[in-house]
Amino acid sequence: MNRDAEGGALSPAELRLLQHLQLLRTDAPEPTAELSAAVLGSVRWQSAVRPYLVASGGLAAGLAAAAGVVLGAGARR
Amino acid sequence: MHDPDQGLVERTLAGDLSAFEKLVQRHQGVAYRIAARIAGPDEAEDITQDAFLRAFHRLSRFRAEGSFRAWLLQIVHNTALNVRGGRRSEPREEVESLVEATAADELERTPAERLEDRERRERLDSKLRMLQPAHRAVLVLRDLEGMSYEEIATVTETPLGSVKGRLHRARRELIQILRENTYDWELPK
Repeated sequence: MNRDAEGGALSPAELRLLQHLQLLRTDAPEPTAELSAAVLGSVRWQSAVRPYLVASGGLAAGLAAAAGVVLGAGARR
Repeated sequence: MHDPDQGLVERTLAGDLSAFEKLVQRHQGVAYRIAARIAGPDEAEDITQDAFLRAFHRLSRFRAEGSFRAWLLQIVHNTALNVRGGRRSEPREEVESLVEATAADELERTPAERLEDRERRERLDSKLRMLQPAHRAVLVLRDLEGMSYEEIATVTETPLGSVKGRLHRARRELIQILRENTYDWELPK
């Protein structure tokens, strides 16, 4: 079949190119067996520390706001 | 359109990490292949890991009207291009039948023929890397992964018409590169 079903007619050179590209499909690179374990490991520790980071970020923001109020009041005196 | 990953996405959002593990296992192959073809095999593992982590942390932003796979591959594609610095049934059936034929042929091939195939694969892979990254990406997604134009448009965040034009230019560019190669790729004029 000399058509790309969605893209229209293919030239003879394009058809030949697609045949060559099959070589790459049969020898596709594959991830190592450790990949999913590495992703899940990172997800687990990041999920574990995230609430603390969010909480400490909130605390820091609160302290900064409080310091701003105190310093602002001091400066007005 | 029903997304087969939707249930796993919802469970992940509810805090079930085993659901996300299933998503990783389901899509790591295609994510890795695309990363390797766009950015090179040395970077592929890092890109794939990085893309899955980004997907996990951004999952609440994922809109269920699209597919999780296309959304994930969009992250892989963007990450791979940054690192670089830089279904339809008919074609898929064609490709699959060719792959099956190749696998059957492989059993009957002599060691010399297999060696020649390997050399051709390596040459072709190196020529593919000579394409502009954006051209290489659409060619990989269409001609190696067999994706639909619509899915490619989502993954590359490019209008459908531009995908078609870009793919045409990518094929033309690769044909030109192969014609300039000393190895005879038997590409008709």
